[in-house]
Amino acid sequence: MAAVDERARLTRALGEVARGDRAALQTVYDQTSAKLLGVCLRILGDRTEAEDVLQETYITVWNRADAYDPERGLSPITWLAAIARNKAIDRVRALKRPRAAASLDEATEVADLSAPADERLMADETAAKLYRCLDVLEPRHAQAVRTAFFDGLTYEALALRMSVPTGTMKSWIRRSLQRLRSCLDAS
Amino acid sequence: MSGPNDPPPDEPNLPRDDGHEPDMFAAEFALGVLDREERAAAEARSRHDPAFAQEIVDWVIRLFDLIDLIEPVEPTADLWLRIEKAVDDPEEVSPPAPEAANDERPLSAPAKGLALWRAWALAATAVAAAALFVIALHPSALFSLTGASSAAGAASGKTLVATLDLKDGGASAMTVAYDSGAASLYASPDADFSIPRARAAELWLIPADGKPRPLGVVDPSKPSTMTMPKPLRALVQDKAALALSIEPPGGSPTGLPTGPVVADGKLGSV
Repeated sequence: MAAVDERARLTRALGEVARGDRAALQTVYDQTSAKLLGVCLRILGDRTEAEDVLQETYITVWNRADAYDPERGLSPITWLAAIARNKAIDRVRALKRPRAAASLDEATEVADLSAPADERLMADETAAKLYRCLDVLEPRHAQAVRTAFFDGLTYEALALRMSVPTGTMKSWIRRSLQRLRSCLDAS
Repeated sequence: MSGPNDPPPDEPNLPRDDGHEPDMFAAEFALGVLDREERAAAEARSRHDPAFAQEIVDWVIRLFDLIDLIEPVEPTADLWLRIEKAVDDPEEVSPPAPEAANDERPLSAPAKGLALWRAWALAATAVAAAALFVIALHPSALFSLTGASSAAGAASGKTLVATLDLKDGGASAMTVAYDSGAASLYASPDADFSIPRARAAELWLIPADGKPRPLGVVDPSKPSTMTMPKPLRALVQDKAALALSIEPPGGSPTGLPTGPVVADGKLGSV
């Protein structure tokens, strides 16, 4: 229920941002910046870069909040996260250097490989469904999908990380995505 | 757990990395496994292929609940102040972070401006997947901006056009139309325009002050539509120049043209 309130408040605030309300932008920022920084930091592994991307993200939100259409099925936090994550991936591809955070990720990776039970309980229904569908995949394939999502790695980097040929990684991911789709889209 | 029927764990070991299962391209973009060039291609496609853009949105909806598992990290205290400043006063903001590629000299005032314009360039190009694809789905969004586009100096509802002529010959490369009421720019490449493989064509606005502002990468084979970022709207005036440069995929990494300017022209009233 808190999540529902939060979503409604965020949707309303984005509508106000679209009308040029700066206070509303701050509301959006206060409610979402820590989550979005978490997303960017995972991908960039560098706080300065991640905050830089975050700044661009909110400037984009300021300029383009009118593009957010709540009727389209994207929740406001998903829309914001999609913007931030997309910018972070573009940035990390442009930097083209090996990520400094590789070792840090190695350490935290394990925690992400299987979603802890209490997190599953907290997640809402659609999220729970996503985790169930991931569970249906072969464990290494599910791990590849999660790592790809969290760290924004290319096929090549992912293959290297998991010590398999790139071609194998491509078929793992593609097959996993197809299975995820049929699992998620099955009512 | 009431999972769907367990798929056979070894769905035939088809060694099929046949390279392309085109219908997974949107999914791969949304998941984030594509390299830079592929991402640029996906973004370009999402702008003129609404079905593809919708597929990306569908995949974002499917996958993004995963962010629930990411630990929030509080930004440093002054980040909001930086954003606020950028929003209030786009010309004066200091660059958010020193760029790795920065040269020795300290940022002069115009360079600060340029750093910001680089941010706008990213807003105009890299935002594509997240915001533009939603717009692409919903072209009417482009024309409902009138209320929001009150940038000082922009005459309301005026249309300006430019023909960008190729530098190396008489033919024209692109026709651009800008509707200041909707803050919407339409760029249509002409038949004679082509660019080298694995390069991108980037469009620039060069207003009266002579400083190029990046407007984003345009598709050399199909018309593109974009919404002018708010801070640039007042600069799109009669006689302002537009230019096309050849850049790495995804556009100039510096916020200024890095490759040859292959075509240019001036905006004028219809």
